[in-house]
This record gives sequence, C-alpha cells and structure tokens, in this order.
Amino acid sequence: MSIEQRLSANAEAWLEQEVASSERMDNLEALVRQRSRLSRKRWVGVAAAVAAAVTITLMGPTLVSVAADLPWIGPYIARMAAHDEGAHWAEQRGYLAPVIASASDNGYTLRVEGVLADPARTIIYYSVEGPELKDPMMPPTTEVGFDPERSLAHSGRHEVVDGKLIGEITTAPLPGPTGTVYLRGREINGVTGNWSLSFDVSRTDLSGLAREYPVDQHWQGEGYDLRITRLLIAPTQTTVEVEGFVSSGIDLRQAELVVDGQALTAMGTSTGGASTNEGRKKVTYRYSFDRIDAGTASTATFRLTAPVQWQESDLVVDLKPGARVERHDRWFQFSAVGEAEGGTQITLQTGWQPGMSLQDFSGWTVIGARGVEERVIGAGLEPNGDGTATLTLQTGRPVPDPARLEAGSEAVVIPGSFEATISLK
Amino acid sequence: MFRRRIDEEFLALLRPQEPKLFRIARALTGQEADAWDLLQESTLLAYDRFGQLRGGPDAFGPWIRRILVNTAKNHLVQRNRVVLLEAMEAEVGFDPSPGPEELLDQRLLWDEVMNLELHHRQVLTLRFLLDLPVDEIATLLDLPAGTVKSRIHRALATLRQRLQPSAEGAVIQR
Repeated sequence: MSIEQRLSANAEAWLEQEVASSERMDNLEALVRQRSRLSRKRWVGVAAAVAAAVTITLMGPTLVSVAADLPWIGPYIARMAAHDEGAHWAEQRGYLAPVIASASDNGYTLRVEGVLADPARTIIYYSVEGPELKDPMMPPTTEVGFDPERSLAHSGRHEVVDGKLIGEITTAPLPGPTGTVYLRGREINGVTGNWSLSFDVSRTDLSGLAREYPVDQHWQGEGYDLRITRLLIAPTQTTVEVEGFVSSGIDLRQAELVVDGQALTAMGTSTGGASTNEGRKKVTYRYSFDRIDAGTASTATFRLTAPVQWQESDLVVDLKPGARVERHDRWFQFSAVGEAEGGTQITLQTGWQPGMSLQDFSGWTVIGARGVEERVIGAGLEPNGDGTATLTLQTGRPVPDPARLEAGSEAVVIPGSFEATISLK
Repeated sequence: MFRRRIDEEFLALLRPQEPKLFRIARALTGQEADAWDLLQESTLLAYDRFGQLRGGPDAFGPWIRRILVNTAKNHLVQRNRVVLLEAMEAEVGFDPSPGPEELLDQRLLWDEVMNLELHHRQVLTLRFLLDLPVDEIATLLDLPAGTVKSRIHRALATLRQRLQPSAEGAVIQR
C-alpha cells in the first residue's frame, strides 16, 4: 500500500481519537446554547420591528431612504433590521453609499451595490446573478481587505430572492477616513472562478457621528489580567475592547453595556495570541453591541455577566426519590424519570436566580449500576416562577435503575468585580 | 420549544464530530489556541446554517467539515503568506523519533504528519484527511495548483523519509 493510500485509509481512525480537553468541548456547546438564546431574542426583536413598522404606517409620515435607488439592497437591509439595527438606522438616513462595481466569470456576476462604513465596521452589500441560485445555498467564498495582498476576517449573511442572491459582508473598519476595498470572489454556488473588484470607500460622514471614549481600567485576579481599552459609540454599532492575559478555561465572552438605562447584551469575540510560558494566553476581546443612542447620558456601565472558569465537576445526583445535592450556591433535587420521544427524560428541580443559565454545568452523563454510561443529548432549564427551576435532561436510551447523574464540567463564577463605569463626558 | 429541539438535534450531531473537527482545525492552523478559535467560529456558522443541511444526520459530518475548511480559508491564506519564506528555506527539523514498533500503529502515521512543518501538514490534511482535490486546495491556500502538487510531493517525501527504517532496522532520525 502506498503512503498516499495509507494516509487515506487511516484518516478516520486518527480522527476518532479522543481529544483531551472535554472542558473546551463543553464550552463549545455552551456557546451554541448562548447563540440559541440570542437567536430567540432576535425573533422577539422581529416581532417588535413589525409592530413598529405598522405603527409608523398608521402615523402617516413615510420614511424616505435610498432604498428607492438601490432596489435590492434597501429592502434587504429593512428585512435584516431585527438583526442589525445600526445598519438599518444608517440606511434610513441616507448613509448607504451606492457603489457600482461588478465582475463576471463562469456565468455568475458579482456586483457590489452599496457600502456602509463607520469607525466600528465596514459593511459591503452585494448581489449575485447567475444560474440556479436558490436557498439554501452556501454564501460565495470571498476575500476582502484594504490591501490586495492581505485578506481580513469577515462575516456575512445572505438570502436568495427571485433567483438573485443578496448579501452582506462585514469586516473591520477602514483604517483611515477613506480607502480602497478589495473584494475577490473565489467560489459562487459551487463554481470556482475569479471575481475581483475594488472600489473606494469613505467613512467620513458616519465618523462624524461616532464618539470614542478611551478607557484605562484594569481587572486583575487569579488567572486573568485584563485592561478595558476603549468604548466606541459608532452609528452602526457600539463596541468595547478588552485586552490582556487569561489562563486556560477562563470564559469572559458574555457582557452587558448599560447606557442611560438601556441595557444591551453581547457575546464577545476573542482573538487569541500565542500562549506564554506561564500557561496564559494573550487575548483581545471585542464586544459588539447593537447601535445605541447615548443621548445625554453621562456614564456607561460595562460589565461581564458571566465570567467563569470551566473545570472538571464532581457533581453527582442519585436518580432516586428524595436525592438532593448542594454545590456552591446551587442545589439539585431529583424529581422524576419518564419516557420521552426517542429516549428518556430526567427532571430535576434546582434553585433559580435571574441570569442563571443552563450552561453552568455541562457534559451530563447517566451512569448505571454496572458503570454503563449514557450521555445526555438534550437539556432545558425553565424557571418555575417561585425561585426554583426545572432542569430537563434527555437521553437517547432508557435510563437503568438504579443510576446516577454526573456533570462532566462546571463553570465556576470567577469572584471579583467585572464592572467598569465609563465617563461619556 | 421548536427551536430548542433543533438546538438539541444540532448538539447531538455535533458531539461526535467535535474531536474530529478539533483535530482538523489543529492540523490546519498549527496552534491549539487558533484551532479552538476556528472551531468556535465554524461551529456557530454551522449552527446558523443548520436549516440548510440536506441529506439527514449522515450528511452532518461532511457538511460541517466543509464549513470548517471554508472558515479556515482566511487563516490558511494568511499563514501561507507568512510561512512561505520559511517553507522555501526550511528542510525538515530533527526531533527524537518514535520506535519502529510504534510506527506500526497506523494511527501514528497521522501523528507523524502532525510533526511536519505547517505548510506540509496543511496540504496533507486537506488532500488526504479531507479528500479535497488539488484545485480546491490551491484555491483555499491561494497558491498555484502546481505549487500545491509539489508541496504535497515534498511532504510525502519527508514523511516517507521519517517512516523509513534504515538498513540496520532503526528509524532514520528526523
């Protein structure tokens, strides 16, 4: 067997090996659950946006936007308003700069139609026309940057309407007031090609509406040494940046910003550098909040809402009537085991506090008397309204009797104050 | 409630893939910290697009691997630009080798791949672990297809050299 054949033949076996850090895997699942909660909040936002639109219509005045000049992009931004209030705000006030730049290859035409640029980010709105464009489909594979030789990290969303793909790409803010953006499409609808575009962008107009507040406050403690560096209230987005060092297992992604009584939540993104000799990692957290109107507020309060250290858990709950365990400031009491669709459902009662989430404990496993493990495949936490909550766990197979429930890892709240008051004067 | 059911379905499909995805991410990025960041980014992307999955649970593994590779694209392009000079100049580094008995364990073949220089590791991962054609690898790495081919050739040669017992039966030192 050639070495090429051996590599192919043994690929899956190599991939099947366990990875040591189950703690990080649990973090990954916690992240998905966090995204899920945010997604549910967005749907609430959609309902609110629809209600607001109806109200505006009833009131009479019609907002005029550049949507009339950009027949595809304006309505797209309006549809996405629940996800991106800042972009909608800017578009409604005429800050969306029309761009005419297009490239065609292999039957597909990539066209940039407009750009929103402010000191927080650059959003490129584009369309694609060509054969067989229909949802669901992968977005075009693109590179974007302010230097033709250096592609920047970017994210995007898209939809297909009447056979035309309309989408957006969000990337870093322009490094200067004006600049050239390079966009290169690599693959569209599974077809590789070269769609290279460049166009000039200015963020001058929106920059005039942005306010930046340098901050120099520190959070220091065991396992972390962080500095809040700045708050930026830009027209399309509000961002807070934090940089420093953290130890392995520390998760500081959930944050809240309160300005003038208006509380916004964000899931920060982190960029990690190389680990140091002390086992710490240099990180930069960037928390991106929705657009905010600071009004006459004199201060903003930024706080981490769930600074946690993930660690192996020794929490065990016997699945028998009356079984109850206490752990830190939490308690769990076995309630019932019953049949559920596709498996078994275990319910427990636990204490409830506002802000509590399912992700405090993770990696639940049911272990029978003979040591057979059955992994929990679904979980839910619902408050009962009386200071308690019902924790529901689902397994894919019947639960043996007797059995116990073990948590694989738990997030321990890092003690200390993670709150910073930022002057807006 | 429906959304929650989707969440659990997604997580149930994700769990068996997590270690595999992490291994692929680490192979492509070279650093554990970068691998976690890549895995996190691509998992959230997959979650957002879960409704677009077609082909049932069996299709989930290949589907999320594809998302991971596409998400890794920027990492790969940037790293390759940085690594290019090093790649041209560097020959293989010399580390203590495992014994021949260990090399009989086929899993160690890929462990050995992970000991290669990053640019060699990337092309072998993309070609033989993810089964991507050369043209697609070239696109991902922003390299000419010929360069990818020669890089794969050199990577295989290095790997063969490391796995080849010497005349005395010992493994050639890396």
